[in-house]
Amino acid sequence: MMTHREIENQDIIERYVRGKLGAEERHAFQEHFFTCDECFANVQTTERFIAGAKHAAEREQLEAESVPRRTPAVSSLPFRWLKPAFALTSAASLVLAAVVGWLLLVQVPQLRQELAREHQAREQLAQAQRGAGQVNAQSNGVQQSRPPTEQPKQELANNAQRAAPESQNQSASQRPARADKSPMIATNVPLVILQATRGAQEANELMLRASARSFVLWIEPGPRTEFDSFRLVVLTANGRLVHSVEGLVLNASNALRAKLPAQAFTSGGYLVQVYGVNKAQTVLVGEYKLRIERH
Amino acid sequence: MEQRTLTQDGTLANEIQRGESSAEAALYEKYSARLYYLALSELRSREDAEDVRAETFMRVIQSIRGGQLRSPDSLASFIVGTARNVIREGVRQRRKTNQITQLDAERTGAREPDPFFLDPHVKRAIEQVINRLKPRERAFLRMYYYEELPQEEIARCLDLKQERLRLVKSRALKHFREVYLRLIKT
Repeated sequence: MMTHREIENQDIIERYVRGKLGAEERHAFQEHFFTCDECFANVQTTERFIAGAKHAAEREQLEAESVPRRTPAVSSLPFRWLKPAFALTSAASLVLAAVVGWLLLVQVPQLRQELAREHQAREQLAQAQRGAGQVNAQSNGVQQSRPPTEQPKQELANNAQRAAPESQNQSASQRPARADKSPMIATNVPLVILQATRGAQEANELMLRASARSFVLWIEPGPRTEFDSFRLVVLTANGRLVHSVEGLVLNASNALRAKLPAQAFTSGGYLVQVYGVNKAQTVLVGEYKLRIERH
Repeated sequence: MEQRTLTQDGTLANEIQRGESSAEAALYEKYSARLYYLALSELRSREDAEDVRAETFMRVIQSIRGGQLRSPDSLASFIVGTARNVIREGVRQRRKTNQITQLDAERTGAREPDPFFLDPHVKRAIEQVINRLKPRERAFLRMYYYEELPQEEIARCLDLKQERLRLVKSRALKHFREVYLRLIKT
């Protein structure tokens, strides 16, 4: 029969409660606590204590976030196969982090620079054309609101040439891939880059020829990663809905590009609203005034 | 203490053999809780533990009455042996009727959180114990009893010596016992 010394030295009571004893030790301890009041009381107290500790852990009462905890060795856990699985996942995460870092630190700045150059080129081209009294089909209503810089005409033409032609497929144009390196707009489609106008008096202006079939709005709401997509709504000055576009997503320049049918718009003032959409809510993220002049 | 128990057991067995019903009641009173706990710790089922207790006492008393108890002083061992037989037969019967339980897994491996010993007093007592523990000591209890990590690994994780962990465990248990006993008395 087991002695008290053995029971204490070998943690028999706790091991019995936790189911860690072999059959022989378990039977020996059962015979012991049948004749030992002290051990019987202790084993029941230990049962209660451990049951209480487990219950507290389940209810997160034993959480101690401030404790610096080293990662336990996975090999000691019962699921040894998890170790290679975790290793593979970790490696994949590292690669993904490297790719994301490269995109954020290298690709995005390059694209932004390219976009800025393009904007500048367009502004200068339009300025030069207006100056020469040649507001004609070649520029076809491209508007600007930023001051032009001095550049030779040939360079401006080259910049415009570099702009990739937009796909003729409307749904594709409204849902460009995030990694699209050529988010630019074709030169033969009227384009207006909307500037936020909430509270401002000046509206963005778009010269739209009577023959134009569509035009493009370019909006930069910023890196709003909290939204799955965006909705664009165009209202008349008195609040009547003219057109709306659903499911817009940010392109590589964190901009939205919406192609709208020209026939829906007459000369006049409009209000363009952009809503961020996710599963939980739809939030107004930008409001822009737009004045269209048809001729 | 054990010698006194054996002597009392011998007396009880002799009285039962002589047909004294009060001795049977005394035997039940003395071993009922232990027998129930033994069955519960093996079977993890209150209903099954009740059945084992009843069946075991019936067999033990019949054996004593029939003079089949060879050594009256080893009555406790006889009860334990009988209880094990009852448990084994019950498990075998369940297997025959395809009611296989997790008994074997529970015997050899880690057991699920135990509802049998959780009552409001236990919950209150453990809360009081936890409140007095330091963050590392709480983490130790969680990792040891809930996550069932080995002590050496916990010691490494928490940067504590194993002796310290053993001390934390025994102090927490001691404190729990005091609080629990105080609570059930009030």
